[in-house]
Amino acid sequence: MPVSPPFDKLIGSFLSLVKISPAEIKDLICQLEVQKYKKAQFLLQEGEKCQGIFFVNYGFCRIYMRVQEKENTLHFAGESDFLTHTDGLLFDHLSPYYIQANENAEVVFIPFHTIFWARGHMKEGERLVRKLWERYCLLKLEEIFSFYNSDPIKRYEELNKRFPAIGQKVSQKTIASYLNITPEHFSYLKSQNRLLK
Amino acid sequence: MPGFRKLNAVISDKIEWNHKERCGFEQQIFLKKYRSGDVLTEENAICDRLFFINRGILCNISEIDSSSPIVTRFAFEDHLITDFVSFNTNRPSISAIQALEDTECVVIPRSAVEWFYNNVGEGDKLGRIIFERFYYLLCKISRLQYVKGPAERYKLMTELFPEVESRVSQRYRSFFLRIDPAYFTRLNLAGRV
Repeated sequence: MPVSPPFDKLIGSFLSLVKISPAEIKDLICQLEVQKYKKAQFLLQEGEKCQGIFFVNYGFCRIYMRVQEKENTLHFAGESDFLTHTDGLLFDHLSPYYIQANENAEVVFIPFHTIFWARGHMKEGERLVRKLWERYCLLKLEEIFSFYNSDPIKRYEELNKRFPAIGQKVSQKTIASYLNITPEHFSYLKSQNRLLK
Repeated sequence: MPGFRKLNAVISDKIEWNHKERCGFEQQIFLKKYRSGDVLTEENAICDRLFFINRGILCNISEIDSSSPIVTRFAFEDHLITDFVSFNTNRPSISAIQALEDTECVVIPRSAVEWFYNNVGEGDKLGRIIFERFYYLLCKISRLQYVKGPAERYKLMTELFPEVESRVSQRYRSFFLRIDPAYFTRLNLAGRV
Protein backbone atom coordinates (compact mmCIF):
# COMPACT_ATOMS: atom_id res chain seq x y z
CA MET A 1 0.00 0.00 0.00
CA PRO A 2 1.64 3.29 -1.08
CA VAL A 3 1.78 5.85 1.73
CA SER A 4 2.03 9.52 0.84
CA PRO A 5 4.05 12.22 2.59
CA PRO A 6 4.41 13.19 5.35
CA PHE A 7 4.01 9.67 6.74
CA ASP A 8 5.82 7.71 4.02
CA LYS A 9 9.27 7.74 5.64
CA LEU A 10 8.01 6.63 9.05
CA ILE A 11 5.83 3.86 7.67
CA GLY A 12 8.70 2.79 5.40
CA SER A 13 10.95 2.61 8.44
CA PHE A 14 8.39 0.46 10.29
CA LEU A 15 7.89 -1.79 7.25
CA SER A 16 11.63 -2.45 7.18
CA LEU A 17 11.20 -4.02 10.64
CA VAL A 18 7.85 -5.88 10.51
CA LYS A 19 4.85 -6.65 8.32
CA ILE A 20 1.95 -4.22 8.67
CA SER A 21 -1.38 -4.64 6.89
CA PRO A 22 -2.98 -1.75 4.93
CA ALA A 23 -5.77 -1.55 7.53
CA GLU A 24 -3.22 -1.31 10.35
CA ILE A 25 -1.32 1.41 8.48
CA LYS A 26 -4.54 3.38 8.08
CA ASP A 27 -5.37 3.05 11.79
CA LEU A 28 -1.81 3.96 12.75
CA ILE A 29 -1.66 7.09 10.59
CA CYS A 30 -4.89 8.39 12.16
CA GLN A 31 -3.04 8.64 15.47
CA LEU A 32 0.06 10.48 14.22
CA GLU A 33 0.64 14.20 14.14
CA VAL A 34 2.95 16.26 11.92
CA GLN A 35 4.78 19.04 13.74
CA LYS A 36 7.04 21.75 12.34
CA TYR A 37 9.77 23.52 14.30
CA LYS A 38 11.87 26.55 13.49
CA LYS A 39 15.60 26.54 14.07
CA ALA A 40 16.39 26.71 17.83
CA GLN A 41 12.83 25.84 18.87
CA PHE A 42 12.42 23.15 21.49
CA LEU A 43 10.57 19.89 20.90
CA LEU A 44 10.98 19.12 24.60
CA GLN A 45 12.48 20.98 27.55
CA GLU A 46 13.92 19.97 30.90
CA GLY A 47 11.15 19.43 33.48
CA GLU A 48 8.47 18.65 30.90
CA LYS A 49 6.84 15.27 30.55
CA CYS A 50 7.63 13.69 27.21
CA GLN A 51 4.40 12.45 25.65
CA GLY A 52 5.70 10.55 22.65
CA ILE A 53 8.38 9.82 20.08
CA PHE A 54 9.54 12.24 17.40
CA PHE A 55 10.48 10.86 13.98
CA VAL A 56 12.50 13.36 11.92
CA ASN A 57 11.13 13.79 8.38
CA TYR A 58 13.62 16.50 7.57
CA GLY A 59 15.87 18.84 9.51
CA PHE A 60 18.39 18.26 12.23
CA CYS A 61 17.91 18.06 16.00
CA ARG A 62 19.92 17.33 19.11
CA ILE A 63 19.38 16.09 22.66
CA TYR A 64 21.31 17.87 25.36
CA MET A 65 21.31 18.25 29.10
CA ARG A 66 22.67 20.78 31.54
CA VAL A 67 24.96 19.42 34.24
CA GLN A 68 26.64 21.78 36.65
CA GLU A 69 25.78 24.76 34.40
CA LYS A 70 27.43 23.06 31.44
CA GLU A 71 25.60 22.09 28.27
CA ASN A 72 26.32 18.50 27.22
CA THR A 73 25.14 17.35 23.82
CA LEU A 74 24.34 13.67 24.02
CA HIS A 75 22.92 12.83 20.66
CA PHE A 76 22.18 14.22 17.20
CA ALA A 77 19.31 13.11 14.97
CA GLY A 78 18.85 13.70 11.24
CA GLU A 79 16.37 12.51 8.64
CA SER A 80 14.59 9.26 9.57
CA ASP A 81 15.98 9.19 13.10
CA PHE A 82 13.88 8.86 16.26
CA LEU A 83 14.04 11.12 19.31
CA THR A 84 12.37 10.83 22.69
CA HIS A 85 12.82 10.74 26.43
CA THR A 86 11.83 7.17 27.13
CA ASP A 87 11.57 7.54 30.90
CA GLY A 88 8.33 9.38 30.14
CA LEU A 89 6.99 6.17 28.63
CA LEU A 90 8.32 3.77 31.24
CA PHE A 91 8.31 5.60 34.52
CA ASP A 92 6.34 8.82 34.16
CA HIS A 93 9.56 10.77 34.93
CA LEU A 94 10.02 14.37 33.85
CA SER A 95 12.63 14.97 31.20
CA PRO A 96 16.15 15.94 32.30
CA TYR A 97 16.89 16.63 28.62
CA TYR A 98 16.22 19.29 26.03
CA ILE A 99 15.38 18.28 22.47
CA GLN A 100 16.05 21.19 20.14
CA ALA A 101 15.80 21.76 16.38
CA ASN A 102 19.17 22.88 15.03
CA GLU A 103 17.63 23.76 11.69
CA ASN A 104 14.02 24.03 10.53
CA ALA A 105 12.57 20.59 11.03
CA GLU A 106 9.46 18.57 10.32
CA VAL A 107 8.75 15.65 12.61
CA VAL A 108 6.04 13.02 12.89
CA PHE A 109 4.92 12.78 16.50
CA ILE A 110 3.97 9.29 17.71
CA PRO A 111 2.14 9.57 21.05
CA PHE A 112 3.12 6.99 23.67
CA HIS A 113 -0.49 5.78 23.75
CA THR A 114 -0.05 4.82 20.09
CA ILE A 115 2.88 2.61 21.10
CA PHE A 116 0.57 0.87 23.60
CA TRP A 117 -2.13 0.65 20.92
CA ALA A 118 0.35 -0.92 18.44
CA ARG A 119 1.34 -3.57 20.97
CA GLY A 120 -2.27 -4.57 21.55
CA HIS A 121 -3.85 -4.11 18.12
CA MET A 122 -1.25 -4.73 15.41
CA LYS A 123 -0.44 -8.33 14.58
CA GLU A 124 3.31 -7.69 14.81
CA GLY A 125 3.01 -4.67 17.10
CA GLU A 126 4.90 -6.19 19.99
CA ARG A 127 7.69 -7.20 17.61
CA LEU A 128 7.81 -3.69 16.15
CA VAL A 129 8.15 -2.09 19.57
CA ARG A 130 10.77 -4.65 20.62
CA LYS A 131 12.82 -3.84 17.53
CA LEU A 132 12.51 -0.11 18.15
CA TRP A 133 13.82 -0.63 21.68
CA GLU A 134 16.71 -2.70 20.31
CA ARG A 135 17.57 0.15 17.98
CA TYR A 136 17.46 2.63 20.88
CA CYS A 137 19.75 0.44 22.97
CA LEU A 138 22.21 0.19 20.12
CA LEU A 139 22.31 3.95 19.67
CA LYS A 140 22.70 4.51 23.39
CA LEU A 141 25.56 2.03 23.64
CA GLU A 142 27.35 3.60 20.70
CA GLU A 143 26.91 6.96 22.39
CA ILE A 144 28.34 5.61 25.66
CA PHE A 145 31.34 3.99 23.98
CA SER A 146 31.92 7.06 21.88
CA PHE A 147 32.12 9.03 25.10
CA TYR A 148 34.65 6.59 26.57
CA ASN A 149 36.74 7.19 23.50
CA SER A 150 38.06 10.35 25.09
CA ASP A 151 40.09 11.37 22.06
CA PRO A 152 38.02 14.26 20.65
CA ILE A 153 39.61 13.86 17.23
CA LYS A 154 38.36 10.29 16.94
CA ARG A 155 34.95 11.27 18.27
CA TYR A 156 34.75 14.05 15.69
CA GLU A 157 35.67 11.60 12.93
CA GLU A 158 32.91 9.21 14.05
CA LEU A 159 30.42 12.07 14.22
CA ASN A 160 31.38 13.20 10.71
CA LYS A 161 30.99 9.70 9.39
CA ARG A 162 27.41 9.57 10.68
CA PHE A 163 26.49 13.18 9.78
CA PRO A 164 28.82 14.29 6.96
CA ALA A 165 27.60 17.92 6.90
CA ILE A 166 27.36 18.45 10.63
CA GLY A 167 29.70 21.43 10.53
CA GLN A 168 27.09 23.30 8.49
CA LYS A 169 24.16 22.19 10.64
CA VAL A 170 25.22 23.06 14.17
CA SER A 171 27.48 25.59 15.84
CA GLN A 172 31.08 24.89 16.85
CA LYS A 173 29.99 25.36 20.45
CA THR A 174 27.45 22.55 20.10
CA ILE A 175 29.97 20.22 18.49
CA ALA A 176 32.46 21.06 21.26
CA SER A 177 29.82 20.18 23.87
CA TYR A 178 29.33 16.80 22.18
CA LEU A 179 33.08 16.20 22.13
CA ASN A 180 33.22 17.22 25.79
CA ILE A 181 35.85 19.88 25.15
CA THR A 182 35.70 23.67 25.35
CA PRO A 183 34.84 25.68 22.22
CA GLU A 184 38.34 27.19 22.48
CA HIS A 185 39.93 23.74 22.41
CA PHE A 186 37.77 22.82 19.42
CA SER A 187 38.86 25.98 17.55
CA TYR A 188 42.48 25.22 18.40
CA LEU A 189 42.21 21.67 17.00
CA LYS A 190 40.64 23.06 13.84
CA SER A 191 43.30 25.71 13.45
CA GLN A 192 45.95 23.03 13.73
CA ASN A 193 44.24 21.08 10.91
CA ARG A 194 43.82 18.18 13.27
CA LEU A 195 40.10 17.79 12.58
CA LEU A 196 38.43 16.91 9.32
CA LYS A 197 37.27 19.94 7.36
CA MET B 1 16.63 -28.85 34.76
CA PRO B 2 17.59 -27.32 38.16
CA GLY B 3 20.23 -25.02 36.62
CA PHE B 4 17.54 -23.31 34.54
CA ARG B 5 15.13 -22.77 37.42
CA LYS B 6 16.05 -19.14 38.07
CA LEU B 7 15.92 -18.21 34.39
CA ASN B 8 12.54 -19.93 34.04
CA ALA B 9 11.22 -18.04 37.06
CA VAL B 10 12.42 -14.68 35.67
CA ILE B 11 10.79 -15.40 32.30
CA SER B 12 7.56 -16.74 33.80
CA ASP B 13 7.30 -13.61 35.92
CA LYS B 14 7.08 -11.53 32.72
CA ILE B 15 5.23 -13.65 30.16
CA GLU B 16 2.89 -16.62 29.81
CA TRP B 17 4.57 -19.60 28.16
CA ASN B 18 3.65 -23.26 28.06
CA HIS B 19 5.52 -26.48 28.82
CA LYS B 20 6.26 -27.19 25.14
CA GLU B 21 7.76 -23.72 24.61
CA ARG B 22 9.84 -24.03 27.77
CA CYS B 23 11.20 -27.47 26.80
CA GLY B 24 12.00 -26.30 23.27
CA PHE B 25 13.98 -23.38 24.67
CA GLU B 26 15.80 -25.46 27.28
CA GLN B 27 17.11 -27.78 24.58
CA GLN B 28 19.12 -24.90 23.12
CA ILE B 29 20.72 -23.43 26.22
CA PHE B 30 23.35 -24.79 28.59
CA LEU B 31 24.98 -24.23 31.96
CA LYS B 32 28.60 -23.20 32.34
CA LYS B 33 30.83 -22.34 35.29
CA TYR B 34 33.67 -19.83 35.25
CA ARG B 35 36.41 -18.97 37.72
CA SER B 36 36.95 -15.44 38.99
CA GLY B 37 39.07 -13.59 36.43
CA ASP B 38 38.03 -15.79 33.48
CA VAL B 39 37.23 -14.00 30.24
CA LEU B 40 34.00 -15.44 28.80
CA THR B 41 34.11 -13.61 25.48
CA GLU B 42 36.99 -11.58 24.07
CA GLU B 43 37.00 -7.97 22.93
CA ASN B 44 37.06 -7.63 19.10
CA ALA B 45 35.55 -11.09 18.64
CA ILE B 46 31.95 -11.74 17.59
CA CYS B 47 29.82 -12.13 20.71
CA ASP B 48 26.97 -14.46 19.76
CA ARG B 49 25.62 -15.40 23.17
CA LEU B 50 23.80 -14.01 26.18
CA PHE B 51 24.75 -14.96 29.74
CA PHE B 52 22.13 -15.24 32.46
CA ILE B 53 23.81 -15.23 35.87
CA ASN B 54 22.72 -17.91 38.34
CA ARG B 55 25.48 -17.04 40.78
CA GLY B 56 28.43 -14.62 40.63
CA ILE B 57 29.33 -11.34 38.94
CA LEU B 58 30.24 -10.50 35.34
CA CYS B 59 31.26 -7.21 33.75
CA ASN B 60 31.73 -5.66 30.34
CA ILE B 61 35.32 -4.53 30.11
CA SER B 62 37.28 -2.87 27.30
CA GLU B 63 41.03 -2.55 26.83
CA ILE B 64 41.48 -5.31 29.37
CA ASP B 65 45.24 -5.58 28.85
CA SER B 66 45.91 -1.87 29.22
CA SER B 67 46.91 -0.10 32.42
CA SER B 68 43.48 1.49 32.67
CA PRO B 69 40.72 -0.81 31.39
CA ILE B 70 37.21 0.58 31.02
CA VAL B 71 34.37 -1.19 32.80
CA THR B 72 30.99 -0.14 31.40
CA ARG B 73 28.66 -2.40 33.32
CA PHE B 74 28.46 -4.86 36.21
CA ALA B 75 25.90 -7.69 36.20
CA PHE B 76 24.82 -9.73 39.23
CA GLU B 77 22.48 -12.66 39.91
CA ASP B 78 19.39 -12.87 37.66
CA HIS B 79 20.86 -10.36 35.19
CA LEU B 80 21.51 -10.91 31.50
CA ILE B 81 24.74 -9.67 29.98
CA THR B 82 26.36 -9.69 26.54
CA ASP B 83 28.22 -7.31 24.24
CA PHE B 84 24.95 -6.10 22.82
CA VAL B 85 26.40 -4.19 19.85
CA SER B 86 28.17 -7.32 18.62
CA PHE B 87 25.25 -9.61 19.50
CA ASN B 88 22.81 -7.41 17.62
CA THR B 89 24.88 -6.43 14.59
CA ASN B 90 27.32 -9.32 14.27
CA ARG B 91 30.18 -6.81 14.37
CA PRO B 92 33.31 -7.45 16.49
CA SER B 93 32.60 -6.71 20.13
CA ILE B 94 33.72 -3.53 21.82
CA SER B 95 34.03 -5.17 25.22
CA ALA B 96 35.08 -8.46 26.72
CA ILE B 97 32.97 -10.18 29.38
CA GLN B 98 34.90 -11.09 32.49
CA ALA B 99 33.97 -12.94 35.69
CA LEU B 100 34.69 -11.01 38.90
CA GLU B 101 33.70 -13.94 41.16
CA ASP B 102 33.36 -17.66 40.54
CA THR B 103 30.25 -17.56 38.38
CA GLU B 104 27.62 -19.97 37.11
CA CYS B 105 25.69 -18.90 34.02
CA VAL B 106 23.04 -20.12 31.66
CA VAL B 107 24.52 -19.57 28.19
CA ILE B 108 21.93 -18.56 25.58
CA PRO B 109 23.24 -18.67 21.98
CA ARG B 110 21.90 -16.17 19.45
CA SER B 111 20.11 -19.00 17.62
CA ALA B 112 18.17 -19.76 20.83
CA VAL B 113 17.11 -16.11 21.11
CA GLU B 114 15.91 -16.13 17.50
CA TRP B 115 14.08 -19.41 18.15
CA PHE B 116 12.46 -17.83 21.21
CA TYR B 117 11.14 -14.86 19.20
CA ASN B 118 9.78 -17.11 16.46
CA ASN B 119 8.33 -19.94 18.53
CA VAL B 120 7.24 -18.57 21.89
CA GLY B 121 3.88 -16.80 21.64
CA GLU B 122 4.93 -13.93 23.89
CA GLY B 123 8.60 -14.01 22.88
CA ASP B 124 8.61 -10.48 21.48
CA LYS B 125 6.88 -9.23 24.62
CA LEU B 126 9.72 -10.57 26.76
CA GLY B 127 12.29 -9.04 24.40
CA ARG B 128 10.52 -5.71 24.60
CA ILE B 129 10.47 -5.75 28.41
CA ILE B 130 14.17 -6.68 28.60
CA PHE B 131 15.18 -3.93 26.17
CA GLU B 132 13.05 -1.33 27.94
CA ARG B 133 14.90 -2.08 31.19
CA PHE B 134 18.27 -2.29 29.48
CA TYR B 135 17.67 1.09 27.89
CA TYR B 136 16.81 2.59 31.24
CA LEU B 137 20.07 1.22 32.69
CA LEU B 138 22.02 2.63 29.74
CA CYS B 139 20.46 6.06 30.25
CA LYS B 140 21.63 6.03 33.86
CA ILE B 141 25.14 4.97 32.84
CA SER B 142 25.17 7.65 30.17
CA ARG B 143 24.15 10.35 32.67
CA LEU B 144 26.89 9.28 35.03
CA GLN B 145 29.47 10.14 32.37
CA TYR B 146 28.61 13.80 32.64
CA VAL B 147 28.97 14.01 36.41
CA LYS B 148 32.44 15.25 37.26
CA GLY B 149 32.74 14.99 41.05
CA PRO B 150 34.07 11.58 42.15
CA ALA B 151 31.84 11.45 45.25
CA GLU B 152 28.71 12.06 43.21
CA ARG B 153 29.80 9.57 40.57
CA TYR B 154 30.43 6.99 43.27
CA LYS B 155 26.97 7.58 44.74
CA LEU B 156 25.34 7.14 41.33
CA MET B 157 27.32 3.94 40.75
CA THR B 158 26.12 2.43 44.03
CA GLU B 159 22.53 3.42 43.19
CA LEU B 160 22.87 1.64 39.85
CA PHE B 161 24.60 -1.42 41.28
CA PRO B 162 23.75 -1.66 45.01
CA GLU B 163 25.99 -4.69 45.61
CA VAL B 164 29.05 -3.21 43.97
CA GLU B 165 30.54 -1.88 47.20
CA SER B 166 30.47 -5.19 49.06
CA ARG B 167 31.31 -7.55 46.19
CA VAL B 168 33.45 -5.76 43.59
CA SER B 169 37.09 -4.89 44.22
CA GLN B 170 38.14 -1.28 44.55
CA ARG B 171 40.25 -1.68 41.42
CA TYR B 172 37.26 -2.63 39.25
CA ARG B 173 35.11 0.08 40.81
CA SER B 174 37.79 2.58 39.82
CA PHE B 175 37.76 1.18 36.26
CA PHE B 176 34.02 1.82 36.10
CA LEU B 177 34.34 5.33 37.49
CA ARG B 178 37.35 6.01 35.27
CA ILE B 179 39.35 7.18 38.24
CA ASP B 180 43.00 6.19 38.55
CA PRO B 181 43.12 3.30 41.10
CA ALA B 182 45.77 5.07 43.20
CA TYR B 183 43.71 8.29 43.28
CA PHE B 184 40.64 6.22 44.13
CA THR B 185 42.48 4.73 47.13
CA ARG B 186 43.42 8.21 48.34
CA LEU B 187 39.81 9.37 47.99
CA ASN B 188 38.65 6.28 49.82
CA LEU B 189 41.11 6.82 52.67
CA ALA B 190 40.00 10.43 52.92
CA GLY B 191 36.37 9.23 53.12
CA ARG B 192 35.37 11.20 50.04
CA VAL B 193 33.75 8.30 48.22
